[in-house]
Amino acid sequence: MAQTNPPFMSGVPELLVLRLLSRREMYGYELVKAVRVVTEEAISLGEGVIYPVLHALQKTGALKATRKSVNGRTRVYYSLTGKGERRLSQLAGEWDRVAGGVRSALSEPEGAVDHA
Amino acid sequence: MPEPRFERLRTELLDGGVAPDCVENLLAELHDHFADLELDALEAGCSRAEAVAAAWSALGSEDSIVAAALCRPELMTWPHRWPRTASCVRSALFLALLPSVPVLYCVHRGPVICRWGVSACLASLITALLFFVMQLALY
Repeated sequence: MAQTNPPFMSGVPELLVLRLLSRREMYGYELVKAVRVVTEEAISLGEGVIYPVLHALQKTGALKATRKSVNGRTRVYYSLTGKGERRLSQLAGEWDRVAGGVRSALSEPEGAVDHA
Repeated sequence: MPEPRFERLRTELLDGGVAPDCVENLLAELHDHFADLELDALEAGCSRAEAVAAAWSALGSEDSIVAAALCRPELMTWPHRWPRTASCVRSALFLALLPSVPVLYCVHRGPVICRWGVSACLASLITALLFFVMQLALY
């Protein structure tokens, strides 16, 4: 059965968040800085947009939130759960499939579509 | 801290149907994030006004944050998430409650109703006695 393409651009923050949190637990500000570093600033988002993503993932059980006191301030640290790991591998698979399709379309020699 | 912008954000999120507990958690973390951004800008040598402007610029517009929250059904209250179901449940509840409203009212106001009932009975009794006495006086 043919798979439909997920709304991949809207899934990018979710994929990045899950990937980064699979390495270690982080709080929001730390996570935003990490996104900037790993994407070499190619993806620019309003930083506040990350929190609805984090809270939605927490509601679905993909993330676990823990309050910790660091330097006199309370930080909410997020970590990946088993469900989050499964969601990450699913999203990564979808992303690979879409990126492979786009890569293949871009590498197609000009005129190939006309002869197809 | 420019509170009015956070207040506006709170109002827009609540009006959009985001669950109140989610709104409070979101705002608390946005506050912290804003404070971190402001602190970084101050440490980089910006003035207070420049630091606040830079923090808002990095945090993104209220509209973008609201839009990001409203597209996540997990964050919404259930009447916004399932409006048709909510409408059916509301109607069913209304129909179920409607006949029980007088009963509930009476249960709630029991002592007052008893007092009025006793007073009305006494008044009727006295009136009946008066009529009876008047009747005797006539004949």
